[in-house]
Amino acid sequence: MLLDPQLLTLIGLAVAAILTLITLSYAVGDHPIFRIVLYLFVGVASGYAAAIAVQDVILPQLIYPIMDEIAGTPSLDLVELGVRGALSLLLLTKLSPRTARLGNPVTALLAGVGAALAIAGAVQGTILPQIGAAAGTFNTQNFQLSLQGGHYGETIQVILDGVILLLATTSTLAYFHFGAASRGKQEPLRNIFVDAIAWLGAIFIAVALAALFSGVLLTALGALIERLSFLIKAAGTLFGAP
Amino acid sequence: MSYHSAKDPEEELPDWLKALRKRQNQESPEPAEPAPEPAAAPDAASEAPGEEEPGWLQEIRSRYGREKGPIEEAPMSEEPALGDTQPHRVSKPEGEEPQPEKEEVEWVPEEFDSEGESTPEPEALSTPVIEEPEDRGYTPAFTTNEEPISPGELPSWLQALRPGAFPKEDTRSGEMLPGGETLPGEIETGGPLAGLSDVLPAEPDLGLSGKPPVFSARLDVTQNQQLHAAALKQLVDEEAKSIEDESRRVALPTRVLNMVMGAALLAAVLFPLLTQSRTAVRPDANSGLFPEVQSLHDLIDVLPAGAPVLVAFEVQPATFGEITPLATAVLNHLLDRQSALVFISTLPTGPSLAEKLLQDQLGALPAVATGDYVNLGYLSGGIAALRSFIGDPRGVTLSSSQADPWQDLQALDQLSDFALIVVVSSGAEELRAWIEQSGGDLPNGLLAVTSQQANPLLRAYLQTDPRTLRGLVSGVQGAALYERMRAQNSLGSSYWDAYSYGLGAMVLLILLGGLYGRLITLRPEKVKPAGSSRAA
Repeated sequence: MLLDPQLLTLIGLAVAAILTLITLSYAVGDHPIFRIVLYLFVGVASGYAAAIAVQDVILPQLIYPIMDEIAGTPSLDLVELGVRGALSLLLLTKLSPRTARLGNPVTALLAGVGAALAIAGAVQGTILPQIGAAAGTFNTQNFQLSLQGGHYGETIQVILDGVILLLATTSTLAYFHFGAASRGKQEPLRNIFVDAIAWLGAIFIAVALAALFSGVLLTALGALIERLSFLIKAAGTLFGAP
Repeated sequence: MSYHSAKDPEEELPDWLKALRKRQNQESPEPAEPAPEPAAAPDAASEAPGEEEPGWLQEIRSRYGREKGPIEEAPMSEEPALGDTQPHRVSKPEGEEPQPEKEEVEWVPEEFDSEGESTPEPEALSTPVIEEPEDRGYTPAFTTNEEPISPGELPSWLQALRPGAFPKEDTRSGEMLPGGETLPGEIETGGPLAGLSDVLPAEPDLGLSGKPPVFSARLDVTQNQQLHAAALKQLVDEEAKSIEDESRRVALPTRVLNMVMGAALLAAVLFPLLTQSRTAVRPDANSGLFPEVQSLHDLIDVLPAGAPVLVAFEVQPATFGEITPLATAVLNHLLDRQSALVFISTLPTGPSLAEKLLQDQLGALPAVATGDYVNLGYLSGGIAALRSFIGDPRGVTLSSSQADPWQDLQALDQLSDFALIVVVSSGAEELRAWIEQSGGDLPNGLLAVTSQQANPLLRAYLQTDPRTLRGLVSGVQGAALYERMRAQNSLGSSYWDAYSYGLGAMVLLILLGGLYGRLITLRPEKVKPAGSSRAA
């Protein structure tokens, strides 16, 4: 018996609304129904990931080429297909503790390539460009241009940018400097100058963490708004409310 | 275990020899016994030997010219032919000390180990010496002038088994042995393997097992150990208690306060959504506070019709609700510019969420309704696959519901052929992977549409030189701003009031909560009576 697509849509809408309400009820407190919904989400997510892995990765990239090869219409180079099959089989040996060592080279290859790409990318794409950007703040050309043009407001802005950047960078680095000179039998004490800069660095770190925290809060607020908007629309659809 | 025959050797003699020996015994005394004194124990045979001697014996005597006297003195040899039927004994020289009792060697054949005969030395095996009685009065079975029998050559394995061939037990320790020499193992003393070393035991050890010992089940613990055990049990019991239950019991006012705060936030958000109010002040695009949003808008706004745009949809389901108004606004702009959209994702959920967004929010647009876009699907392999895709997009096998995803993209050979690359991302990590792996390969840089939580981390990439990130729009605020730039009222605008009031409520609640917490800490603590502490 085939259900009406519109009815299926309504059923799906009702289920989604109920699950949303149960999830939001965690604000009141933990309860078994919330736990059931939580496990349901975990199970659905795992099953979906497995289905994607089979449908979008294993079948089109390994099984279908093998079937094409058997059928005499190869869609992939035989060497590449062999490498794929061999690596897949070696990775499958990780399923059993007895044969897990056979899969170590494949795992090492994955980890090694991933680490190499991550490190190289971080150096080339993040560290070096941001060092250059921080150093560019102290480029006097901008200062001279604004001064010659009579744009004193921009001149002050260039100066403030440089000062703030310099203070933020040095004070944050000083905050993580834990070296202290020995004072004989007394406990070591950090240099008072470094201590003062580190106190300033703590302020900058607190501001940065507050920005991150506010971003997370705003994200949660946006998600809450979207869910409440969905509930209002679902109620309108299910119960005919405007 | 001895392998000697238990039978008397005499019994094993053949019948003819037994009969002969019986007759000899009847005729003469036992030769093995010492010769009796002629006066004390006169023998009948010795009293009249000439009368009773058979003719053949007398003939032998006459042939060898023997006198009767010595024969009488040596009764053992008066019947030399019969003497051969007796077991041969080797006489020991006088004065020689008796040999210590040697270890019984079972492998020696019975010919060498008969009753009353000493075990021959190993040399005797190779070079048998025929000992003759000193006083020979009979014809030997073979003469000494005959050619001696050459000793048989024993094989090496048999020589190794000979008694005395193996070394005696060395009582020195391993350190005392020169040159790292090792001590021989235990030598078998019985059985067919006697004399061999390092042999497996013939009897299993199980047979030697006796009754198992009985141990006492009572623990002998001291009082101090009992105190420690009680303390450990108390710790474990406290860990097993439900923390939540205790928090409910102890901090009930705090829980009530949390519920009140949640209700206030819910009301602040829900009321504008229900009333669909548009009273909150919209962000001004001309204020100059959001140059990154303006940059993104301008880059899209100048796209020629039909320009290929790659959209990396790196969205998690948890942030899909927040991303939806923002991505809807940007994709709507791209479709209005008649861009050729190509979707891809390095997250398994990305392609399906992109499809959902297009169908739910932009399904009325002709390009979406007719399916005039390409979804390359899920790019598996993380940053390694991303690096490969950036270097050679066609070389990476992609999963797709379409048979040949590149059929409609014949003009695209590399990533730089795309007019724009827009990354729609839930977090900073996915976008950072695109920035770091693309490096300088993208002359047009990247445009980012992200969740609000990723914005602070990504702003640094807006100021790098060269600018890898050329535009950034984040959160509900970015959606409302973008819609205002395009003079549209969509999801971003409808959410803006709820967002503004909810944000105000959150700030207020944080301030009030902080103030309440400060008051709680400043409140003087009640003096607890002695012994009321839980630790006590």
